[in-house]
Amino acid sequence: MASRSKNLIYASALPWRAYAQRFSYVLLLGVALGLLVIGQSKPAVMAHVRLQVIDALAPALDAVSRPLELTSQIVNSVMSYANLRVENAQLKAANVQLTQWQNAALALQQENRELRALLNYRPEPGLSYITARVIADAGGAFVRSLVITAGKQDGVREGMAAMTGDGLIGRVIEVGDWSSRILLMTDVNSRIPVMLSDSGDHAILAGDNAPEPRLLYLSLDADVKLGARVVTSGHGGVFPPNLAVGVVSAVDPRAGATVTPIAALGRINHVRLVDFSLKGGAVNDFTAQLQPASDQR
Amino acid sequence: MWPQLGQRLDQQARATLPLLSGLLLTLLNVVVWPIPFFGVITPALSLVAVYYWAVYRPDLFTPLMGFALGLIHDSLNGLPLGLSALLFTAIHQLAYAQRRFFVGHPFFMLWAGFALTMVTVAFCQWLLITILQWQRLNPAPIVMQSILTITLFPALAWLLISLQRVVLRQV
Repeated sequence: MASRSKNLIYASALPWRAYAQRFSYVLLLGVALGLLVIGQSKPAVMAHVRLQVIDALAPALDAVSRPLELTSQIVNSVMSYANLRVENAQLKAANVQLTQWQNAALALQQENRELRALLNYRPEPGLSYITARVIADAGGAFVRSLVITAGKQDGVREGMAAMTGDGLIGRVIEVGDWSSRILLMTDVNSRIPVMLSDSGDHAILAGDNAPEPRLLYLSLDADVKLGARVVTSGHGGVFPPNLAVGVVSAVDPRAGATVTPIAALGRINHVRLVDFSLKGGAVNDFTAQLQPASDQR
Repeated sequence: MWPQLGQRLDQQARATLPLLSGLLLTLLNVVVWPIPFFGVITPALSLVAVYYWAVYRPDLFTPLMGFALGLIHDSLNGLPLGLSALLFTAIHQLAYAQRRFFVGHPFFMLWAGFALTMVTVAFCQWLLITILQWQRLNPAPIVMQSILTITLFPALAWLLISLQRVVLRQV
């Protein structure tokens, strides 16, 4: 009898459970839609919420990404053992070439210093670096961004240029206490003022989520050659000038020019953030570029 | 009394498996894999978790958990906040509504159901982001991502089935 009455209670409660379940779906879908609408009118608030979540999850992300990084290191070291002889020959050849370049650079630097002293030239602000580990290669199919393990506490500021050892990769767009987000130059929302280092023509490098960003707003008489180096122009004061960006990979009279980034954007484990603060020293002083990162995390 | 308390705590801990596995897959979705450009076409791992648990253990994986995973997914990926929350809740609803149909049938039906869901979700995601950002986005990466996710679904489902058998046998 008792069990029968119990069954009856369950039976009468079932529709209510179904209603509650259905109501919770409607409620949650409504809240999600509301968030999307609020996000359109107040993007800053939503960016703040996102950063709070990332800051809270950063230790977990860090822990999850460590074994994968270790695997990657092991695979790399095994591969490099396999290619040791070939790589060694290549490195020796490169070293001879680089030593020549170093001598030339040192001579030019000395000459530059003397000429600047003669002209009473005011040096441009120097650069310092913050190095951080990438803990999330985020965005999937629609956004090209990275999350790194450095935030306000490490001196990261919005707008800082992000580089790998090879060249520019993008800029910092959101900064949390312990982590920040970098928008890669290939993202559809990325716009970077650049110039062609040979001709000095200025342009805007615009991403479109494809692997190779495009050059926009080139002047009509601009002389764009295949293989031309593209560097930051420093316009707008966000990025320091002369950071290596890429090389022109295709020139089409209708579609415009595309640029292959120097940095391998598909696989980044560490980034350097360039602090373009007003300190002494010169941007073109190549020894400044060789200094070790200020903060290795 | 103590053994009972211990048993209850054990049960409670086991009951968090669906949520924890969903969270882990969401994190694995964004970490840097040692494969070049994998970040662009990473399979939608968290989506698999939401779908699977909504079919097999909706009592332990509630719609609210799907919603929360969606918010975390949005935050980590820099997507408009609420986008994945909306889609994950919708997937939960779809999977929950169809679960009686899947339970008695061979695995192939579950896979086909997932493939259909994945295609619909991918299209909705592309459409919503296109509307929100007001620019036409290249659909190629999401197509690749969908194909990869559907292909990997049996392996991931096998993993979740094994976990369920080991951990949730008596929960």
